[in-house]
Amino acid sequence: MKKKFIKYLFIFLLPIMILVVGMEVALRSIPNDYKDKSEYLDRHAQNIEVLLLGASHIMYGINPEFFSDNCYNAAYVSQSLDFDYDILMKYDEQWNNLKYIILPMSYCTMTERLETIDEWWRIKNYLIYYRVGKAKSISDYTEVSGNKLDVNLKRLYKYFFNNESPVTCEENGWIKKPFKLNNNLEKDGKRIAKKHTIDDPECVRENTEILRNIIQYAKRKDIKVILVTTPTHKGYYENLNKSQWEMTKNIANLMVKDYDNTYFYDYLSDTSFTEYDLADCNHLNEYGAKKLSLRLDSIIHTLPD
Amino acid sequence: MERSQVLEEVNEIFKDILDNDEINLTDTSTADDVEEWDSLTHIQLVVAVEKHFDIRFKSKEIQSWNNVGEMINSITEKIQ
Amino acid sequence: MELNSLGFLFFFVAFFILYWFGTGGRIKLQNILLLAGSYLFYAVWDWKCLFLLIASSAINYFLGIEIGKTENEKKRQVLVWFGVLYGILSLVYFKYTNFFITSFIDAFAFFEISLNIHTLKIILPLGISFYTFRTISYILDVDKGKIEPVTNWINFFAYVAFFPCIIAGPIDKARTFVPQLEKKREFDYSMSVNGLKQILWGLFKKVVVADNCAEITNHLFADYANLPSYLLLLGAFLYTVQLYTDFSGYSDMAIGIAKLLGINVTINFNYPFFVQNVAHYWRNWHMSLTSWLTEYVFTPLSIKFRDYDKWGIILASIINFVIVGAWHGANWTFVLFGFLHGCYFIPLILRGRMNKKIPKIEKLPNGKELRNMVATFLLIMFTNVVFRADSVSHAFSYLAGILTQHFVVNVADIEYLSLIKLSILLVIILVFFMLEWKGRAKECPLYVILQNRSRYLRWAFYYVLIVMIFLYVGEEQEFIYAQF
Repeated sequence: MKKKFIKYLFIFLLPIMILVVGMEVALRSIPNDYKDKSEYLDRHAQNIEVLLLGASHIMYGINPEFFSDNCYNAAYVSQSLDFDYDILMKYDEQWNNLKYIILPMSYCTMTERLETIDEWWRIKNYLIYYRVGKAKSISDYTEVSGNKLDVNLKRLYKYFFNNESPVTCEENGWIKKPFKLNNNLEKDGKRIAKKHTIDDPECVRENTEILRNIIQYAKRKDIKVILVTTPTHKGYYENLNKSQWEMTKNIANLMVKDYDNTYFYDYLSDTSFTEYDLADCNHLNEYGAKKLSLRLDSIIHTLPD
Repeated sequence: MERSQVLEEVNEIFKDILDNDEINLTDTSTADDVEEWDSLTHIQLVVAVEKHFDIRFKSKEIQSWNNVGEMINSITEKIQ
Repeated sequence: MELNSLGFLFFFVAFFILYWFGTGGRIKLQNILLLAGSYLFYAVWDWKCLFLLIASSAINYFLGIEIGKTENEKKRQVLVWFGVLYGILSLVYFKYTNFFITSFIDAFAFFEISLNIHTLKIILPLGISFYTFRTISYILDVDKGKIEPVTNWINFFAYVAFFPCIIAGPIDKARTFVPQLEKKREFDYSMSVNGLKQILWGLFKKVVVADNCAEITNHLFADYANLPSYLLLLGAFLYTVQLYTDFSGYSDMAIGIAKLLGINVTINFNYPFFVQNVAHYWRNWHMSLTSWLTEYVFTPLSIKFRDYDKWGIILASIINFVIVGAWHGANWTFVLFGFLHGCYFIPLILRGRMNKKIPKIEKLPNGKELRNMVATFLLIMFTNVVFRADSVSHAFSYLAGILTQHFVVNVADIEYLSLIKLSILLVIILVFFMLEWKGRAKECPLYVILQNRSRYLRWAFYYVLIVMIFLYVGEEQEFIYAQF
């Protein structure tokens, strides 16, 4: 009786299991930014001298092409400090040439973690492709359970039938936002500033701890840490919650005070960046990225050894 | 009163209250056997029985009956 | 671990294998495994409250034995009252303390007196409404001699904590559940297959129907002030379907899982929308709760009030349903919900309709039967708005909106309402009720549908259900009854 049950159940489930496994294999074979970046780091981590980590502000905002040293952009959308730390630690034994780490110090950097925001579904990408991070639930370990079925079917269709590759990053890890004049900077600024205003003291505490760990690790290895607030539009920075921004700046300044390998550059409302440099109220376009990258490159070469 | 007589009279009460002439109770009959006998009609039946035999049951007694037979026992005890 | 989560799937597969292949068919091992598995399941969800569950089980276990031994009437009464009160008071404390405090504050605020008290930080232990009812029914049954005190503590603790049912029922009585634990469970092929079918159907109901309705109703109920009356009606309709498919779906999964373990759990839903009056509805909705309250609340009350004729029954009925309502949660909306249902019974009781036998409908309902079904459905829909509302004023505003909000709105402008998605959902609901109607003779429609056809056809149908479940799963909606 038991055997009969198991037998028929197995036969019934077999087509489903085959489809599920097949889909998982197919999905994982689709090239994507996470795969690209982690494979690059696997191969070239030992050569990298300037490492860019963080979320979309860095991902769009700093272009390694304009650095005189070997630079790589390992930032990605909504990548929070805990994942920055995990990626950094993953290649611990390979940072033979690493001299500078650039991290974001944006308005929402301290108040967010990937698992607390609505981009949490990206956690599976770190687990699967980078092999770092902690799962929120069992469904974070596979592509099949990490997205809704129609989303996955669309992905498969786009790649295998339309030959569209979803890879968007350049070889140096940077993602280009082409120049296009945006008339909604003011309106969007208010909306996004509100979205980024979060009250989560627990999260801030944890992120501060993680930041400290990164800086201490860097200090041990004689690496400098550059905290950067990327340029934003007036519509955005004028609508920020004063205390959240003050708190963020205070944390950055505290790190600079406590650790002599840490530096902080606040370009939040820097006037040398104009509307022509911004793709939207808080991200730089390709021209803004070039400007910021050149500036940072010259700065890091003026830092004392 | 003979026990079988009590059962007869109770059966008539059930037929009347539940509006069903086909009811035929035995000592082992329970609410599961009679379709119209449920929690809402149960109390009407009890009241009708009390009125008919001019007796009064204790709450605990009513709740202790597991079948018609036990109800008949309670009735016959009281009319002795 | 909700029953429809991946984590539970892994847990249960391991459990199933151990249960049927690892215990060598020994009763004691099967029961120990049930108990251990249930506590593990509970701990993963809420380990801090596990101690409360164990304490409750222990107290009632020892009380049961004492009551069985005690001849002294007075002492028995004390023990029984202790058991019942312990259960009720702990339930009231966790569930209603803040409700009482807030209501107290509000009442005084009405008279412009502000009280300086605050609500407490009380977390509701998982499943407390359900397992407390299990233990109270046990104490009362032992007292009335309906069950012998359970001497095997493993069996009793497993009864209280039984994991498929701990989150949301059905609420089994010890007298039907414990005897099954005292016998060896033999693996039964058809019972297990039925279990799988019921789980599949339950998953379909919850994931495909309920969760999709919820996506829409959450918005409609929040945004009601801006919506025209027909959309508010749609909201009430969808919510009624949602409540049914969500809760009955979960019950189906619980019952199906129990079947896979060779245990028969009491039925909880029996096609409640195919009925012709409200009394009949309550005989087929959340049956384990209504039968519990009928046996332990309504019947004793109706006996006490029997001198007052039909009015006694009406009073008992209203009290009974206010408790049904209040059991669902700490909000006046639930009390009002219960009260309204108690009132629905008044005409039925006065007209003496409740004992009229309603003939079974053979193929399709005739005009009169269909009218009764629709009328009953509308009555339920109306009270479900009250059930769903965040507050009594929200409920009244929503209902008033149905009568008064006749402005015109371009549905295409409403960003959360996709006409395509809505149409697909309505078609799914229609097909769903057709399938339920076809299968209404049995506990689960899948026991009837395609039963006399080839296995390939049946399996193809099951695959369709599974694909639909996969399509809609993800973005989990919170299970409605989990906070009870």
